[in-house]
Amino acid sequence: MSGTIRTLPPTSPPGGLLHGGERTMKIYRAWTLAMALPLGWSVVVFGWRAAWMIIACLAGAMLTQHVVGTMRGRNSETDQWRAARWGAGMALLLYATMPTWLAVLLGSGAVLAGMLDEKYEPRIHPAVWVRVLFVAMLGFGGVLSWNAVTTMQTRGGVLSRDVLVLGDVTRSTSLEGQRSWGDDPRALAKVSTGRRDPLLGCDAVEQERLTMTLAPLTAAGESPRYGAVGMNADLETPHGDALGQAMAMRDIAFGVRYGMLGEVSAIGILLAGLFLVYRGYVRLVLPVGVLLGAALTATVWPVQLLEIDGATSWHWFGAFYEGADVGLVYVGYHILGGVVMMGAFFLATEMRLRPIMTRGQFYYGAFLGVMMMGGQLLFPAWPLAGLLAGMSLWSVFCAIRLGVSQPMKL
Amino acid sequence: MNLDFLSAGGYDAGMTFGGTFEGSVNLPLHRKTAMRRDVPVAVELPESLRVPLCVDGKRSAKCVVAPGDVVAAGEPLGEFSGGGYLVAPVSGIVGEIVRTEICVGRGCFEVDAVEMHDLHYPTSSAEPSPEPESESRTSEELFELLSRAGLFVRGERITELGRWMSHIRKSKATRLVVSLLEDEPYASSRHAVAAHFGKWVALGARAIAKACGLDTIEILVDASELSAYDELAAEAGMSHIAVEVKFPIATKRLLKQFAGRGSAILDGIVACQAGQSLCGELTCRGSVVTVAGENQNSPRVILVPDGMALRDIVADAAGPMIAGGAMRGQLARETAVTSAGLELLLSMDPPRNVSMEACMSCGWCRDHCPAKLNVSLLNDCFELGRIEVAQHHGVEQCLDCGACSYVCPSRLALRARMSELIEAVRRLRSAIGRDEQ
Ligand code: SF4
Ligand code: SF4
Repeated sequence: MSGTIRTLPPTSPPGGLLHGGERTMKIYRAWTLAMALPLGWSVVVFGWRAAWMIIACLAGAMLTQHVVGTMRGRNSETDQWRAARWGAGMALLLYATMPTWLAVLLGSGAVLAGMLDEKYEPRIHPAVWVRVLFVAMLGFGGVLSWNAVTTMQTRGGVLSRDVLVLGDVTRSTSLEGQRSWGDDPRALAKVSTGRRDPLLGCDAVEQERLTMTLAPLTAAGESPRYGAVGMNADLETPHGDALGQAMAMRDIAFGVRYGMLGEVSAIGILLAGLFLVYRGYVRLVLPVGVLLGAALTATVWPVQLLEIDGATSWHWFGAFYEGADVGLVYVGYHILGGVVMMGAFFLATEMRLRPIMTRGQFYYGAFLGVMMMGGQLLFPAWPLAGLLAGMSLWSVFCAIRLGVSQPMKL
Repeated sequence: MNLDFLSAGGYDAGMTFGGTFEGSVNLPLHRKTAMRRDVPVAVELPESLRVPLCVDGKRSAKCVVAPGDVVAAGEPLGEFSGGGYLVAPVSGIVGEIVRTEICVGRGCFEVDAVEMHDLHYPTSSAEPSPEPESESRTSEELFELLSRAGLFVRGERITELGRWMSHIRKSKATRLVVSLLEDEPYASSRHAVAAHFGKWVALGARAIAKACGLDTIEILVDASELSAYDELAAEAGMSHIAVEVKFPIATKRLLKQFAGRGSAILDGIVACQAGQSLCGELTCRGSVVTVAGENQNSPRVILVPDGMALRDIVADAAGPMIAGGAMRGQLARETAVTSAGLELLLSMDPPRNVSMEACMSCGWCRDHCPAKLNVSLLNDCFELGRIEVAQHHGVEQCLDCGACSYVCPSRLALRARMSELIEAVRRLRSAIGRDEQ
């Protein structure tokens, strides 16, 4: 074409109106399917008990939707998928050891809370307070399943939720009698009943094995003198005898650790999360903000160090204490393990709460990341505390900021 | 502050708001339906026409002909109070003054019309004269000629071309930007005009630029369709602004964003009609209408004389008609007639059993908003009647492009809501102003 051509930069995302044909129901369905990946993974890891919990939670959600939705005259297919999404989302937060009735109750509560998210303006909007209540409910759930939570504290999760152990890893030996995937976690809790270290909460054999988990991740080519290890990493892979060969990272990636149903596998969460990003339901900036906030917190947070002789000491900037190799792995464990990945991709991205604007999403993500990691480090028994508190605070903040008691979106 | 419209309770379905189909139709992204069809010179003429004496539902022209007069195409039928003419679309004999209905923007209006019989087109050639004498005319002569051509510029209002040119002369505009972007889904009129009548578009644009005292001409085109404008491109001295992103509604405000400051934006169809008119080649005075829609088997672009009944235009289609487009149009009665305001006639079923849902905070409205507004928050403001908050978050920056309505998975009529909010903000401001005085 002759003449000067001045091509305008797009004022909208590349590809133009990407979402012209999308409808709400499709989005809820895709979210539910995305959650099915980590949930399915948890069934592989924890076995029938996990499947039962998921079914109970979903049933609670769907039944509530059916009954209350029919009463309110709102039980369309979209509403049903919305309920399924709430149910699946809540199932991510359950422990396989929780009582069934609690799973039903939480699934049902999630749907009821979702129903409250409608626009009306009383001075105290129920949706804000429901979020606060939601935090309390999960805490209540934690108390009711105290067995699981205490197990979690001593066994579940990832490297050093609260303690960074320095040990001579050359003394480590691999453990006989590895357990396989799918064992009942309650049975697992009874396995190591030897004398427990008062600080670590595990026996000497476990401690050595745990120490070993970090060995391959430190200086390449030679056995490191020190390793930063956690007091957990419980369920082994079928390749348990290969403990000395980067087992720990594999555990984290593929899900061989104890915890909530949704957090078993970092890769599972990442794949499902990236699917949501690909579909445009989640903007990458939010999970990235969460991960950055969490990484920063883990980096500067003080660690308690346990020497071989049993003495302990606290150190700020724990990630740097033993050099970059140990520090990076330490932070990496905190990010990849536990609730951080699940929080970043599934909880912080909760549509009703997250901000709309890109910058708002980044701040929100970073804030939740800091809260989440703070919670994880302070209350290892209840790693969601920080995240949920952060989400509730944000709701209240938005309401105040916008001058309405309504969870409006910044 | 509570708004009247909140209590009106008319927001349960896309249809209820002023008859628009916003947020309720799964619109095709591209106007592929009628794109590749040839443009016929004009449709077969009916037995009679009811030429409306009003084009925007507001200002009516004073009839200047009497029953029995023989008029040729382009001769005045009516005169507007500020100057400007309404001309006979085709040649024929004038009948009675009757009432008829036109559909413009958000409303259908009953207006006076001049009935015409014994209709025929003037003879015309398919090509412009090789050396149109308009090239050698002075700007004043061109201004006079074009003002009498009976053409209308459609923007936020429908204005006579003469009036529009006077306005541009007084403004600070330095260049003419001829828009060939379609302004609604399904529409392909401008594309067809540019592809088939490029020389006339160029000729008309040059004449209008000269009449308005503008030295530069630019053409605003869809980047994905550049190759279709070869004829137009052959004209030297024009540069092109290729727009890469298409919005559902190409409103004047959005075009201004694309064109930049100091631009006078002119519809490509008007440029084409002006070019034809100067050469005496304008087959008929009327609209270039895209006839499309899901119930329309043969989508096409046609030249329709003003006053033709909508029923005659979509005679081959079944079901209801939407005049004006899927985003801003309305259900029209078959007896309504075309006027200068009509460019798109769709034959499609209005949405049924489709209701808006609660905002799910997906954020797509914001992602696609060219003004980068937090539309979701503004929608909350609408639902809660929070006018001040909406004002604080820049609702008045809305370009009315319709992207938010188009993408919203909850089918919320967001564009219409933004317009309502802007109105409310203005009302609030003037109320505060009154209180302060
Ligand atoms: S608010 Fe909607 S109509 Fe207004 S500019 Fe943004 S996307 Fe366009
Ligand atoms: S596109 Fe619709 S559903 Fe999504 S945030 Fe905007 S208003 Fe809400």
